[in-house]
Amino acid sequence: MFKYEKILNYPIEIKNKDLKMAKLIATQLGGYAGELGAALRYFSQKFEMPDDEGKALLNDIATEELGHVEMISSILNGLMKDASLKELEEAGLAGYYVEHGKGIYPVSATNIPFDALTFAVTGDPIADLEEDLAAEEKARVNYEHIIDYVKTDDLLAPLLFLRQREIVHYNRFKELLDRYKKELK
Amino acid sequence: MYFDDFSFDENLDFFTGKKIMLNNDGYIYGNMFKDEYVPYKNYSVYRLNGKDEKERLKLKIMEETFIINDLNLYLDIHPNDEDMFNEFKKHNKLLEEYKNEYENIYSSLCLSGIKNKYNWINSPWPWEDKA
Repeated sequence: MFKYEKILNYPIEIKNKDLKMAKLIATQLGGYAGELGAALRYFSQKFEMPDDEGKALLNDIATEELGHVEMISSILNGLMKDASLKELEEAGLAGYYVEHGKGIYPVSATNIPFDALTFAVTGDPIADLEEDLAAEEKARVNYEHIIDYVKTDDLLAPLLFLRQREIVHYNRFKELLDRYKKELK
Repeated sequence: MYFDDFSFDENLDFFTGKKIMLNNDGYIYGNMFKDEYVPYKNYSVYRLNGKDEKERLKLKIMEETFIINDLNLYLDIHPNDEDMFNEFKKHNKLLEEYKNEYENIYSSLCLSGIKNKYNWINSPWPWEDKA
């Protein structure tokens, strides 16, 4: 089960609305390497991990990723909530407004709604972990591409933090995969 | 607010000491194991500052929660590392102390932390923190 705690994984305090940044950062919620897909990927794959270590690791990283979903959603909320209809239209978000208002809905930076086909569950721990390594790398690169456009500290701090978490998760998954490759032959 | 005094800190005791980060610096880097930090371009890390007692205590809770999370992932695949488990226990104890203190003075952070008054619904929720 899950229990909610009234704290974020890392502080988010957005100073000013910025719809252009919201459109880009949205991809870390609903994009092909976003946090929502990450949480679902590891949560779903954990059932077929072959030992206690693997089950624990996928379960616990999935849980952390849900906290990252909340972080990204909080950023998007902070960047969008004070925008006017005119500003939304100028930022190319009139269509988003029609469908979602100023609510938080998972789409990519190129406006593709979140798709479960962005991840797989094969039932094979090695195939799944190979995907997990790639997913963490893709998420890291997407964070870096977003950071290239970011100019303000209130966004840089949490985005740099989240990028580093991708690196840590990659390292843990890699250790587990290397172990399985030796043991499961 | 947490970010009112953003500054790049060049004096962090980051590359000295043991395998694990010193002085809880791990939180601002995003990892507890010092050999795992990979900077991006020339970006550095941000010190986090609470503007008042309440925010500073909440920040300590967030920091301890993070430390436990990162040690938890490591221990999942190294369950027999006694040194790391001792670190984990130390931070678990600190987290419990900070949470108790916060929930006694301010408001509940989880359902089991509700004390005399049903303040669970009180704003702000975590995503509503104002800059």
